[in-house]
Parts: sequence; structure tokens; C-alpha cells
Amino acid sequence: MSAGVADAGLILEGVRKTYWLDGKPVHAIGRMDLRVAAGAFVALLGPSGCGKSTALRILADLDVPTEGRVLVEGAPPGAARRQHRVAIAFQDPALLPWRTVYGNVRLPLEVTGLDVPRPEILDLIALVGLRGFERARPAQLSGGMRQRAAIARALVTRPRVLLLDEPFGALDEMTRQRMNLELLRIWGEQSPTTLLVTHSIAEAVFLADRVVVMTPQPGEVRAEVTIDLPRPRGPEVLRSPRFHALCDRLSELLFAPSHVGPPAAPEAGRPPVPSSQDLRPPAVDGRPPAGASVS
Amino acid sequence: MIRAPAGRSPGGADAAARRGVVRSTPGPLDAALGPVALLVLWQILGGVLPWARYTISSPSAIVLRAWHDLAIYPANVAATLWEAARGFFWGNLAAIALALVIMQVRRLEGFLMQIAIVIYATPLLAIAPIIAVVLPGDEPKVALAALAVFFPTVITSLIGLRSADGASLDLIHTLGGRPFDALRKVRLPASVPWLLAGFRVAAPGAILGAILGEFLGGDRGLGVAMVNAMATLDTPRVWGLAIMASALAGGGFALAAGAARVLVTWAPPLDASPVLTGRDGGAAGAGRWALRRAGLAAVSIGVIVGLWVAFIGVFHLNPFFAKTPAQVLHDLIAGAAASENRRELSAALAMTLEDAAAGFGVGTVTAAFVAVLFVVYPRLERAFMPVAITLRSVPVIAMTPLLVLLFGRGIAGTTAITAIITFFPTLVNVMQGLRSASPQAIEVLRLYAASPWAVVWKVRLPSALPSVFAAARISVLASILGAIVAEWLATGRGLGYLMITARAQFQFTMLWAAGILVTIVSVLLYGMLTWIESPVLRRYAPSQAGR
Repeated sequence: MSAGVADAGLILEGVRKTYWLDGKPVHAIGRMDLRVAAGAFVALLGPSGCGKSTALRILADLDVPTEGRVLVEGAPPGAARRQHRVAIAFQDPALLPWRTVYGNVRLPLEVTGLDVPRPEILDLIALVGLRGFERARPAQLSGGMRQRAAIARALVTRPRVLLLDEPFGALDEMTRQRMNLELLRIWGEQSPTTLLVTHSIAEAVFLADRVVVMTPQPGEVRAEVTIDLPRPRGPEVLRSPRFHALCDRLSELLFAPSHVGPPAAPEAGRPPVPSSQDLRPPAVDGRPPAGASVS
Repeated sequence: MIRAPAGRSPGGADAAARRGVVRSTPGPLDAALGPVALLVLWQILGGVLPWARYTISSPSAIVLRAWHDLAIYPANVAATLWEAARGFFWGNLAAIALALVIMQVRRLEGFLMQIAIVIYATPLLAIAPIIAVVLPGDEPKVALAALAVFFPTVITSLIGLRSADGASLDLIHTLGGRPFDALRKVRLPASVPWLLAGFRVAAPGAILGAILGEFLGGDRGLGVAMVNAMATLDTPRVWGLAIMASALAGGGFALAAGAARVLVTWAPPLDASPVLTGRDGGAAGAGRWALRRAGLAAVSIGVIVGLWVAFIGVFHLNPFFAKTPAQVLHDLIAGAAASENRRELSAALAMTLEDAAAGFGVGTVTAAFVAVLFVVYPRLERAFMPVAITLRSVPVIAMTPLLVLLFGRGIAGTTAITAIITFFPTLVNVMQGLRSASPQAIEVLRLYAASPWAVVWKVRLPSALPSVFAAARISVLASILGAIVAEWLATGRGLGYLMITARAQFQFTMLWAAGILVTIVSVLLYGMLTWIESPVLRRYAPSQAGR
């Protein structure tokens, strides 16, 4: 591990997580190694129950690994958390219903004692597209707007690390597309190290620099795919052949039988980590991504 | 930048995470700790303190006494059970009938529900002396048991009848079925789990009602025996009888719960407590809203007077005992002693309200505080929550004779009784409220290294506000009832005492006036809390308001 601990935003090394359910072990994460460079956007892709949310929760210090080493910006997750370097957004926006949008966005500041002047908070609310709704309460907002408020709340402490646990999973497909575009725009402004957990192939490809494919029971990394789509990415990316090729490649990896690795991926090490060079041209170019969403 | 030592995950972070984020697994030791500690403390205090023999007694003395008393239990238990069983039957019958009528005649729903609420808010004790005067034998006890059962069953059977699946009802309709078919095939079966859940509340309620009736006097029954033992300062016997009464109430609960498990195999057990949430049209303007509230209050008073007149008319009550609204009003407004009567009545009411308010305040605040402590220190919760849950199901009002011995006959005694009545339901409700807070919102705060107290203050307490109000609405009624029982059995003041003396001195107009007054005040207080509650619900639990 010479590449340097300091410049790696997130590191998971040999992480295992085992729960005990009625005296029987459940391996949420079998063994996981992951590195996310500072400032990078990585997506964890896999079906439900593959431990991807657990990995995220471990990084957020909301869960403790059974085994393995975890570093967030070179520090243990607990330390990073106490230094307020990490922010999170869940599928449930988890807004407090009695607070206004402004009050909800301000909440982390009240808790951490960090000071962000009011105009900056208002700018942030405007950045996520909620200008004019500062005094609205969550019940008055649509699902997408609530999620925007949750993202603003996550960004208000100017976190170095942003953890996103299927933040748009509960939204309809069209809202989701729009939110993804918005998220890229917002991310471009602050560029925190971002780990996104998702089960949507298209979302992972569209947003991330690198997609890590996970398999369930026990949760393990099956493959990593570098997304070489140029940034900034606009809606036209969704129609590009390259985008679809990447989507096809990922669905192939996701749906391949678990013990027979994808033909092009050499079984050299464990876990098999094919790089983007292994990415072959898709069989039928330009067709829509098969099974763009895995659930 | 902080560098972590290479190797396994740093222990410091792990430990911190376990402390702050992950709960350690509970051991059986924790759960046993609370009860055992309390028992030992009790035994020491009861055995050592010189005055304790007549107040708190000690577990060993109580067991010994019960052993000697074995002979007195069967007859008294049988009497109480028989009264409770009859009350349970008639009360549920009437309640289910009313629920069916409400279902069928939608237009009358608001009015009929108001009747049900009035009956619910009526302090049983307020009308107990009246019922004791007008009904013969042990029928007053049966009537009180029935009244205690009535409201929970009306609510749960209504919820049950309405819980029927809309698609199934549409199916019956499309097949050309009549409303009666829908009722028989869909609504009634759908309501069974709810009804049985309601019985779990109603069964201990029937025992409580019967015992309250027995406090008024009689030959047999646990309530009668308890009052007699209290009069002779036989504390261990009062304890024994009180524990037996709780056991009967608990047995009723267990029986109903068991019946639900055996009979309802297609649905999980429901947790139904007869709590109505505040409902108000959110869109209505403030003025119209106040007007509606005032209208509702007027309707309630009208309902009370109507029930009163109907009660006398239906049972052809002897006019010597049964006083009509006109007679009562005459004595309070126009009669020779009208001003004196009014003064006596209002002084007694003020006293009762003071007694109730003191206990209600102390009980609610203490319960909220303890609930917060339990949430912040889970170990404490594991040790003492089982005790609290057990004590919640104890019919505390039925324990009044015991509490009088424990806390004396002064203001401390009354406050203690009403505070205890308020404490346990509020504690359990507020705990549920504190736990109902969104786990994700709490995780967000924890991610920012918020202290447990900050989590309580910013997320949990506001989330618990609706539960606090739900608990307050129940316990405000219970605390008035408690104050009256305390006044009646112990302090010799307030409306409770006024009613007892009026009954003994054949001042039946005064008896009726006092009973009706308490009822009206209770209904208005209940309405007032609902009124305060709805804006709170709208703000803090938008998903529950205005449904």
C-alpha cells in the first residue's frame, strides 16, 4: 500500500461484516477492498442485499466492520465524522417535518457548531433549485424537492466526503433523470469525494468515474469498470453509444453466473478486477441498456 | 492530515462507534435487575422503617397475610368477576350495536360519535353514586363495568368495520351484493382482529369498572374488601387484594390476547388503543374553526342533558332519587338556597380541579423526563421499562385504598394518586413517541457527532409531541377521576366528597348537579386538549393530521 493513504479519499481494506441472526451468521460483506481517490465519484452497483449500503454505513461510522481497515481521508471513520468531514443522504430524505427547508438545511450547523452565514445557506438552497421554497415545510414539497433539500443539508457543512445511499431510489424515473443532472451540476461546484450506492445501472454510469459491481451473499466486489465518458456530462450522454455500451457491459457483469467470471476478466487475483481495457465493444451497438435497473 | 496506524481497524474508533452508534446486546441480567432491585429495596424499607408496617408494608408480610387470608379470596374474586363479566357482555353488545348503526347511518356519525366521546369522558365515579342510587343490588357495578368497556369497543369496532379492503367491497358491489352482504362477508370478518384487540383494553376495563362500583359499598367483591381493609389499616391485606385485582385485570388482558391469537390466524396481532386523533378540516379559517369548536362543545352539553333525560325516562326512575335538568337548574338558579348551592358546588369543583391539575402536571412532567432518561441511557430502560409496562396495565384507580395508606390523606396523597395514574400511560406513550422519530434523521445527526441530548432535543422530543398529547388527553380524564376517588376515599373535600355526603344526606339534586358538572368539565377539557392538539399535529406529524 504504497500509493499513499493521504491522497486516497476512501479506503476499505479486507473489510468483512457479519451479523448474527438467531445465532446464525449472515455475511453482509464477505470481503471487500475499495479505494476511492480524493475528489472522485464512485458508484457501488448491485442488487439489494449485496452489502453496498453496509459498506457506506461503515464509512459513515454508523456501523462497525467485523474485520478490516477503514480510512476516510486517511483517518478512521469515527475521527472523520467528529471532524465533520463526512455528509450523507439517504433514500428517505429524513427531513424534520416541523422545520422549514431553511431550518432543515441549517440543522447540521446547529449540531456541529460550524458557522455558515445566512446568504451562503440561501445560495445553497438556490443551488439545489429550491429558491422560493426556503420557508416551506417538507409536507408541502414533492418527493424530488424533499430530496433536493436533503442534498442541500448534506452539502451545507462543505463536506470533503459525500455518501449517497440511493438518494433518488424512491423517485419516479423522470424525476430521477432530472435529479441526476442536477446532482452532477452541484457536484461540479464542490467536488467532494463521493460514493454513491445504487441499483440503477444507468444512474451509476451517468454519474460516476468508476462503477464497482457487487454480488450478493456474501457481498463481494465482482468487478470495477472505469467510466470514460467525458465531463461535464449533459443529457446527450444518455443517448450516446458509449453510454449504452457501458450499461450493457455492467448488466452483463451483474447477471453473469456468480462463479464463472466474465470471459474477458482474468481470474488472476481475488477479487477479479477487470479494468476498462477489458471492455469489449457490445454485441449489438446502440440498443437500449438491458435491464437498466436491477432490483 | 491525520494518519491512522497501518494494520487492523483502530480500536478507538471502534469503541466510540459502539458507544455512540451501535447498541450493545442486552443481557437477561439487565431486565431482571430493575424488578429485583425494587423488591429488595421494598423489603428493606418495609421491614426496617417503624411506620412502614402501616404504609408500604413488605413483600414478605404481604405474602404471609395473603396466606392467612386465603379464605376471603374466592367469594370476593367471584363476585367481582361475575359483575365484570356481565358488564363486559352488555357494554360490548351496546358498543358494537352503536358502531353498526354509525356505519349504516353515515349522516348521524358526527352526532353519535359525540355521544360516544361524552360517555368516554364521563368520569365513571361522577355517575357512580347516581347509578348506585337509582339501580338496585349489584347492578350499579355491572353498569359501571359496562360503561368502562363501552368506549374502547365502539372505537375499535368502528376502526375494524372501516378497515375492510376497498377492493373487496367493490367486488361485492359489482357482483350485485347488497350493503348487508358487504357487511356480512367483508366488513364483519375484517373487523374481528380489531374487535379482539379492543377486548384486550375492554377486559381489564370491566374489572376496573366493577371494582370502582364496589368502592361505593356492597357485601362482596375485591373493592368492598379493599375499602374495609383500608379502614382497619390492614395494609398487607390491602396490598394482597390490590395485587389480586391487578392479576384479574392482567388475566383479562391475557385472555383477550390469547383469544385473538387463536381466532385470528390470518393477521398479525394489532395494537389498538382507543385513541382518537384530533381531526379538523385543515383548510377551514381560524374563525370558522373556533365556531366549530364552540358548536361541538354545545353539542356535547346537549348530548349530556339528552342522555340524562333519556336515562331517567327509559328506566322510569323514582323522582325522589332521579332529578331532572329542570329541577337541578331550579336549585342552582332560582331556589331558596341557590346561591349557597352554587358557591358550594364551585368551591368543590375548584378543589377537584386543583387536585387533578397537581397530579396531572407532576405525572406528565416526570413521565416525560423519565422517558428521555430511558432513551438516552438504554441500560436504565432495559432495567426499568418492563416494570413500567407491567404497572401501566395495573388499574391504578382501583388501587386508591392502597395509595391512601401509602401517601396519606393530605394534598400529597391526592397528588401522588393522580400523578401515578398519569405517569405510567404517559411514560409508555412518550417512549413510543421518542422511538417513533425517523431513524434516518437521527443518523444524520449522529453523523455530525451530535450528543444524545442534542438528538433528543432536536429530533426525538418534537417527534414525540403528538404522543404527549395523545397521552395527555387520556390522562387528563384519568386524573380527574383519580382526584374524585381520592377525595371520596381519603381527603374529604372537593366534588368527590360532596357527592358522597350529598348521597348520604339525601340531597339528590346536589348529587346530580355535581355529577353532571364533573361530566361537563371533563368533556370540555377533553375537547380543549383535542383543540390544542390539532395545530401541533399539523406541524409535528403532518402525516397523522387531517386524515
